[in-house]
Amino acid sequence: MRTLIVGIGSTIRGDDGVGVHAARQLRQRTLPAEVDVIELGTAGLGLLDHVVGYDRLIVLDAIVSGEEPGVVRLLAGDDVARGAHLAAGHEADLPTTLALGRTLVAKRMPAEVTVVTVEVGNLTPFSEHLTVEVEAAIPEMLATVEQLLQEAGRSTE
Amino acid sequence: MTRTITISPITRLEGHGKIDILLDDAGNVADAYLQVVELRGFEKFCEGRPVEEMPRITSKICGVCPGAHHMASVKACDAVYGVTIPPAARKLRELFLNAHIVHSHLLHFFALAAPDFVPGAATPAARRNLLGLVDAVGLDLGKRVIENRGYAQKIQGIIAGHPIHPVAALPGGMARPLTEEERVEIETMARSMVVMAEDAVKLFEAAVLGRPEHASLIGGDTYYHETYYAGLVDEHGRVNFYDGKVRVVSPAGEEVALFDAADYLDHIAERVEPWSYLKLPYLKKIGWQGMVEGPQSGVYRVNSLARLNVATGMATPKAQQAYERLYAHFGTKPVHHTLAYHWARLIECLFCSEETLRLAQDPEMTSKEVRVVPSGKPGSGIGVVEAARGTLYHHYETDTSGMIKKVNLIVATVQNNAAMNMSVKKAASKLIKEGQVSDELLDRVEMAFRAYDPCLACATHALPGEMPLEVTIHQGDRVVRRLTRGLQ
Repeated sequence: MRTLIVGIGSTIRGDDGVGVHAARQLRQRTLPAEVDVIELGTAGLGLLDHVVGYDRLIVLDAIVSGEEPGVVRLLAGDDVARGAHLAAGHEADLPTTLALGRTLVAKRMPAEVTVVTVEVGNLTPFSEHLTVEVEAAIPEMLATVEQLLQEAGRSTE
Repeated sequence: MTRTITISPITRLEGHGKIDILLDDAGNVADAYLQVVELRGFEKFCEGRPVEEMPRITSKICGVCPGAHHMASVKACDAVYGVTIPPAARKLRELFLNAHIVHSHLLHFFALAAPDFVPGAATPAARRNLLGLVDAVGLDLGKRVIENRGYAQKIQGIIAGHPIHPVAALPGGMARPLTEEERVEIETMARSMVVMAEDAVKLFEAAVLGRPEHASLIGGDTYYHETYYAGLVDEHGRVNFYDGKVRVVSPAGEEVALFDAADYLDHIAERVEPWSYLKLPYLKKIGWQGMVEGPQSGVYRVNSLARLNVATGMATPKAQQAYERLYAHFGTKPVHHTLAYHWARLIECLFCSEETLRLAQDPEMTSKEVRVVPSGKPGSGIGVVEAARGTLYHHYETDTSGMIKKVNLIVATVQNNAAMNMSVKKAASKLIKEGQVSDELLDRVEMAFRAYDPCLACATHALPGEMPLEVTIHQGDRVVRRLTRGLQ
């Protein structure tokens, strides 16, 4: 199963960049051959430059939903619109991007889309560092991703 | 009598469209405020860093317009060192910036603006989006939009060294020249972009001129303000995104200023209001009279229509023809109709596509001379470009070893802040009468500020959902209604 993992955010906007930090750590690990990891600032139509041809998309992103900072969640189905960068004030959001991709290039779009989010409480305007709570959540994010990859591995065996 | 309310800091949410509408005792609109984001804390973040890091840092401020920040920043760095870059480096940067504008304008039009006209303003919101547009115009156009958007992105990636985070522009020029192979690839993509942009202009002209309900929406008085305009022009007074002088015209179209970026502080002042974190830039020599239109008010507008209004024309043939059709349609210059920003944006998309092609064919484009290593003493420098959303100023002051002491950025959305508030107020005034709120309020108010393509996303998106919009209607101390979309 060809899988694309996308870390989203800005690394100079404090906790906003947690998705990118997580993607970078993930890239240091040994991953199955069919898994690619990239970084993006937002998840608008630009995602279509990268995602076509993959069977599955896993997005790593920050979220503000009122929970405690550092809480990791797995979103699937209609919930994938809820990540911090998955809505776009300037262009198409993630669900629209995916729907458009399916309309235009149906067979080459990932059938499965999941989003791994970390609750970020304090969005410090400008910093290259994550807060303690959010940094501490990265191992759980990565474990969640690895579990997703293993489940897929088993289901295709 | 209008009763005012104080909006406490706790209600100043950032990162989404938050609008407060204040009603008078009769239930009509007295005032309206749109909250947009500001780059708080950025100056402190930059202090003490080597100035040459700035083009890479500022391009990460925003996920939407990294290319424009990269260019304004590197121009400010050139100025800090007093270096003149080689001609080929300038052309590479222009090629990059033009491709960046094509990318941004195509996205804004097809993903956000077009659905209000095709399938149309009367279409239910659920279908008034990119998918509804593709339904209406066909899969082929949808595919071409995605394909050409990808080309514009790819050109930026080839020149800037990274598709998302540009790194190639350095003080004194560019990190590396373009190879002949890359030039040919860019030329091929640019040809396709020109055809795409021409078709986009045609689509808009058909949707506006061919449909009376849209022509009256655009030409009517709901979305209309007589303001000053500002934008960069070349030595012939034509639109230029990379360089030139800032020209300012009055609501009557007379030139009131033509200045170099380095002199911006003589012409632009910034007002601070208690209700917003965002400053309100205005024309210093005209003065601040509040958020009002007319020749006595220093409120000015930037972005696409402003650039066309301050210019004598476009430097490329197809865009010039489209430019002439726009002004012939309205019969006046400047055009004050806010929704014409969409039309102007497509004319610019065509111009930048033609420029991308012209530059890709320039024999000097593959010259190996792309950098002069700065040798001067660092000091202060100001860089200006036209970002997709309007004039973008970067101003740096350094110590003698080139470390940042002071940073000032004036981004485009901030300059349109006063005008966006005026536009929201005007649209709201038409849709709220004696306390009765029209069902169209959210849509019509959104159209008012969307024409400016504001970078509400410039900071973190602290809230989930679709483009979140929250309108609160106050009367006296009472909240009479709250309309939201995309908030949970």
